Amino acid sequence: MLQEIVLICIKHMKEERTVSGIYHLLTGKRSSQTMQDAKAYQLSSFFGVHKSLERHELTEVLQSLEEKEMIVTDELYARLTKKGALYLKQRDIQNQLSGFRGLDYHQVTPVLTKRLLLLIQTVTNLNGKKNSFVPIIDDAGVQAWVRGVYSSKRHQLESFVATLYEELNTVLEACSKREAYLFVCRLTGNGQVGSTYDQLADECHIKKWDVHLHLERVMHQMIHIVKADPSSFSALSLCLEGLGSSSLITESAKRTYYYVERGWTIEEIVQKRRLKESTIQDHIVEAALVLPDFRIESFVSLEGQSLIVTMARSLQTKRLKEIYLGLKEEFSYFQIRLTLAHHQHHSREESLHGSVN
Amino acid sequence: MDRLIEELKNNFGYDHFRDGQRTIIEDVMNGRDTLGILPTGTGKSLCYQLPAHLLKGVTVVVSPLISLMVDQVKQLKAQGIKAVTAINSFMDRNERIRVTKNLDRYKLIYVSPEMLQNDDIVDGLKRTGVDLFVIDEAHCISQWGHEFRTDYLKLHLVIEELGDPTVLALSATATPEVQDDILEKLNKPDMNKRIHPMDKTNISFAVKHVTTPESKLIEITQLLERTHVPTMIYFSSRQWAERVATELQTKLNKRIAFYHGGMEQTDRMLVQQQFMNDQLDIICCTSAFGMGVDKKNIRLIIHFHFPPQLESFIQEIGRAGRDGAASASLLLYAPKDHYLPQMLIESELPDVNRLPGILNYVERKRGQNGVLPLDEVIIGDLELSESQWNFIHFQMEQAGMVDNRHIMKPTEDPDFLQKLTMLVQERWTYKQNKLNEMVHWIHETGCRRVSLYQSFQDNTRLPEVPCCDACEFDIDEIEWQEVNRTEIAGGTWEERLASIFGRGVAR
Ligand SMILES: Nc1ncnc2c1ncn2[C@@H]1O[C@H](COP(=O)(O)OP(=O)(O)OP(=O)(O)O)[C@@H](O)[C@H]1O
Ligand SMILES: [Mg+2]
Ligand SMILES: [Zn+2]
Repeated sequence: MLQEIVLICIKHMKEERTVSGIYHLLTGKRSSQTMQDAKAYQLSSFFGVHKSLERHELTEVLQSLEEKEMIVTDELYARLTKKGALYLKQRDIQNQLSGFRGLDYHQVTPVLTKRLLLLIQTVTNLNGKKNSFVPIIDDAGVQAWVRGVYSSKRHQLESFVATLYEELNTVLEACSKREAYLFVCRLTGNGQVGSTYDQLADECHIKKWDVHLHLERVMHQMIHIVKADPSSFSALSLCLEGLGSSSLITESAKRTYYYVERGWTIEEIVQKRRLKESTIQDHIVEAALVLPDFRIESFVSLEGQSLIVTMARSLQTKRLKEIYLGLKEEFSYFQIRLTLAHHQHHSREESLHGSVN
Repeated sequence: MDRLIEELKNNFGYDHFRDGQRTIIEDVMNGRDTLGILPTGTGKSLCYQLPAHLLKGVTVVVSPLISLMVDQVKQLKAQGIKAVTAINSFMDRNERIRVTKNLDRYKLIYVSPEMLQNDDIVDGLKRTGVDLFVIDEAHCISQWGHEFRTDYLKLHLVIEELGDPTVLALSATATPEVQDDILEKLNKPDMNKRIHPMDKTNISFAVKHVTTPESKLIEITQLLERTHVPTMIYFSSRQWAERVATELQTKLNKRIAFYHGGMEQTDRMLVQQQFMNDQLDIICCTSAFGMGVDKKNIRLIIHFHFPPQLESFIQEIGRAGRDGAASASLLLYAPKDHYLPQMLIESELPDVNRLPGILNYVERKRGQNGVLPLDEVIIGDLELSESQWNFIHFQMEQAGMVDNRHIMKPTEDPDFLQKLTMLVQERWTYKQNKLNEMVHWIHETGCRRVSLYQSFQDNTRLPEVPCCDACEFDIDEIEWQEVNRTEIAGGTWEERLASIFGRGVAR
């Protein structure tokens, strides 16, 4: 599957973008370039569909395509051969690869997946009277969310579990058999522990990256189905609650955020929306305040963020002026505000201790 | 029945104390600072969990392993002990604030060492009143320990700040040298020592010398064809763990998976829980696996690669036979095996020739804005490994040159450079000696049990199982059968989903 997606990317990008461009697209790199590319080359459905794809894995796919003479590559660029073009037509790949909605949903799927895995583990175990189990998801936010859902549903647990089961059945029926199977094998609950990506790849004789892609597509389809008819999917709608930008920020800020996410610069947004620069900046800070995943690197470099946070800490202040002067006016007030807004979600003073293994 | 036993029964459901637990608990209840060394898996946690229950004030437990803390909190809660929590950097901010505000609601509080650098938390603890301060995995405090952690070094300050509560330091593997260092670093020379023998009397030892990695694979295959028990195979590289797992899968009809730190978080959890849940027979892993894994019926520990020191080895084989039943350790050795740990040592310590350049880099940062960039940035700029940079950063902190990210003094000081060079060399020699000890043990011709434990304790007890391959143990003769299988619903996705949701399949 990755192989076909890469072929399509090469075809659409027509040697105007390097293979790095493909990598950034598939892993969902948040830069204006990548987002603009996704739109311009009509590849938005594949934006961020495999966020943990590694560079060498893409290289492996490119090599295998080259061996099959579907592409020719040099250091930086790849081009479709006749054979490759024919292959794409012949197997009607475009249809086979439908159903991805990367640009819309890539940010939602990681949290939604974790919520579902932990929720299913929790409610099926508790409903089966298995009261002690080790949560399969370590994420404190997700755990708190599941706790919340559980305490609101504990008195109708039986019926909630039944509803969730029915809804998953409905969604999975709309997926291919293989994808439904992969999704179900990931689940943990009722005394069974789910399978890893590697185990699924082994079992189904496909590449690990394709396991990722298939599961990602199941999630995209699920979100799409649920959003189209929320009243028929009460349990799954609950799982989507608060995800994505929609419910959190003001309408106007949301519009600004929409453009930022698609890689527009502040100047461009100012022109487009005919608002003052300071208003747009306010919107961006607002978004950073409520959206922990909102990356601000395109406005303040990582190094800059480090300097600002360190200064704020050492001065023990959030007063912009002091920080501004402390850093010898190197950063704008906007950059300082934005950094502080962003880092209130990430106020882990310490770097984690990694190990060699 | 006396009171302690009664409390043990009521709160934990156990009938007896295990060796060593009772004395430590009594010491602690009497307010004596204690260093407790008990072998892995014998129940160190109980030595503070029970006192926590009985003491009026709060018991604080410092533990380096967040996953372990979380597991223990869960376990205790599952046992009905609710007044327990864990504060660590993974906690989301609001939750942390909530917990910090209400510390007096808890009897037992787990914290990660870096959280104790946070003044709010220390102030909160001070207000609440701490009766017992526990340092789990206390060997981390010693530079000579195999898991030295710089944030453990400041613990004595915290203890003072908290008004000198009773201190209990616990570890499973600490040589006399490390024990002394613990007392010194905690500033408690008179600490009462309760050192229990750490030799595992239910484990038999064997080492096999082979010529190539391929012959290791053959040995393992033959052994596992005869023996069907929960097994762990340790590797020092991720690639090898994956490779051997794959090969064994084709050769053996068993459920096998690999585990290492490079896997995605959820996948790691899944493998760990599959193993706990008897959905896997064999796990091929690096040392990243196992900390805090309390599976009772692991019977066989195989070392495909040996660890860089005896302490790690002792800890890793300690995962076997936690229920006390007969278990075995097999180490496979091929002639070039010491290259890998050698390289590891080199990647952990900075090259002395590069020290001047590194100090110059820091000096330039001092000139620019007086602040160190993020660790990731420095590591990238200087092409250092994380542990190489940590080592240098720590030494600069010790010399008062930097305070966290702030550069306080000129760093291009020749005296400091000389001292740093010496420290690197000293550390290198130390690690080298440790490695030599390990290699020496592998080539031991006398009793392996005696030789393994001799630097940790005076006497080795008589084992309850065949001792070692120099005595009467022959690993080629074991034929164990003991597999618990949790069967997973197979078939279609519909059947599998139904089974997870605990309903009959609609066909
Ligand atoms: N007195 C007892 N009777 C029966 N079981 C006990 C007793 N004390 C502890 N245990 C059990 O022994 C197991 C190991 O305990 P624990 O995790 O505290 O060991 P540990 O010494 O901390 O090991 P490690 O070195 O791996 O940290 C646990 O499952 C615990 O419930
Ligand atoms: Mg322990
Ligand atoms: Zn012996």
